Amino acid sequence: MIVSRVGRSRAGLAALALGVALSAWPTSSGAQITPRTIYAGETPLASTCAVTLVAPLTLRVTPCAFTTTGQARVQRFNPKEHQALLEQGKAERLAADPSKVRVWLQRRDGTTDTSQTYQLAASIDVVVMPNALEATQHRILLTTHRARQLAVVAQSTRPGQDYPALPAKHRLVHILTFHFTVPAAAADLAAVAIPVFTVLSGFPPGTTAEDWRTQTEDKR
Amino acid sequence: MVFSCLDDYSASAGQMQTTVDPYPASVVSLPTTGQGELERLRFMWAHVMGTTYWYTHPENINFRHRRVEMHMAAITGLQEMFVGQQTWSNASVRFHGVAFGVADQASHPESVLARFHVGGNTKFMVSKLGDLHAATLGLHQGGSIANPAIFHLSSATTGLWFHTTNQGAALNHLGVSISGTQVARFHANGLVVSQLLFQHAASGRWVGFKAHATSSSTALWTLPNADGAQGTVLQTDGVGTLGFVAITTTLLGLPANVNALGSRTASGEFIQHATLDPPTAGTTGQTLYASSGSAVSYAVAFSSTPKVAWAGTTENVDSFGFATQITTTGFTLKIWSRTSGEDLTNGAWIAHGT
Repeated sequence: MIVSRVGRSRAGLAALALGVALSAWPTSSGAQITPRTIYAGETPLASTCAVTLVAPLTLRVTPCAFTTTGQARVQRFNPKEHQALLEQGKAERLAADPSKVRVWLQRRDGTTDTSQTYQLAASIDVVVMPNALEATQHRILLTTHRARQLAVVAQSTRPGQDYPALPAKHRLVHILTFHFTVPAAAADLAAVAIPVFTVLSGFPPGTTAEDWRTQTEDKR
Repeated sequence: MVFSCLDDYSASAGQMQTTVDPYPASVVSLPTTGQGELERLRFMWAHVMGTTYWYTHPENINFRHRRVEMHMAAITGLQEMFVGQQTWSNASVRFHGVAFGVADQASHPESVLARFHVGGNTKFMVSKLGDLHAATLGLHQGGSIANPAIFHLSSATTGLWFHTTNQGAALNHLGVSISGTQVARFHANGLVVSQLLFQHAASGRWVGFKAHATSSSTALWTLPNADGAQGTVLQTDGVGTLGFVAITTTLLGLPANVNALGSRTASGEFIQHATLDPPTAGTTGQTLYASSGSAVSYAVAFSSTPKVAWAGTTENVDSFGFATQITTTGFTLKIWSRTSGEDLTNGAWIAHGT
């Protein structure tokens, strides 16, 4: 079970928890916080959201911003084709390569799913509550239920079962920590690997956009 | 008659320049002195040569309105009727080996400035444009692919040729031959070439197009009337009209006659079908284990949600999986297997998109 502390009204509790944690736990993420790295490529994807371990069973999400990719197609700039779309806000130049434009895909009703930036204004502490009898799976989500404001939703489940639905009116922005398994009756998270979604700009060293239109992975 | 003082006759420049018209009033006059005979000869020389004075401009010969004819008897060796030689040693001096000029106001436009006949046929002609002879410069209508009408002196099989009935071409054809092979021909439908080559400016190498060697029918493609968007490709409508279309980034659907997937036999041939084996005798049922899903992230984000497929394993494990909750940054992998302990990540995936 996970108990999350969400919102500005809990800032005092968060600060108290931090004060207690400082005496026994370093604020650094520690070896158990593992980045799940993704390169933004030509997308506007960006995230400053980080997770740190501030107490034996407490994870903290610090104030941050998260920018989604939106739904677009990157094309070589062609004035005849793209000038009108730029003026209508249906396309934008790539800052890293002005010779290209990002054209937002239009739904059937003409609307677009453009990139959005969401803000988390205050630190949120998430207390992980291990089950006394069996291992449990946990994850932390970034959601939104107010314009451009991030919320942190922590979820847990028994292995092999689905996570519960999001709270009412919440919409998923992104998974912040992918699911991690907490042993039964664990006293702390020191031995738990917690993968945190981490965004790097550009492409992996030595590669370009042309290398990544198709991606494959064989984990063996 | 004795020339008494011929050596001293030209006592002055005026006397030296004197010429006498032997036919001054359409009446023949006879000279009465030796000096008079010289003056008549001077008159003829000055007028035949077209000079003001009989002794000036010896470098020019002007036959004026005279017709010049040169007749050579039957010959067996090479003879040149007109021979001119000039040493072009001075770059500042312009030289015309043969020059003809005519005012462009002749009342007879069929007038011909120069014409060469061979065996009664005009082989080369320069005329006034617009007459029945049509062109300013005309060549005999002969020539062939192997023997062009205009050819390279070092390679008589390289040059231009015109209509040749024995080549199956019409009067309005103009062909280009290289070493006896037709490489291009102009006619009413345009330019026909065996190859179309472009030379790279820096390397000097060539790139180009040519028709298929065994084409059994004529195919003519009409190009689009405008450029396509970035990333689009040319597509035919089946009747020769080309257009730009976008490449679909999805892997949905394959033509009915395409077998892209299948198992292989021992010899490597694809098996496009399989049979469903009945359960082994005594087997009452199979247990299927389901995973709760593994969150997978791409190495690089997609600009739009891609298509994702998961592939099975090489182990003896009956399993199948699906990518669900696909986004621009990753997806959730769900697997079903008959083996409970199977590593759910023991497989591979491919994501395709932009």
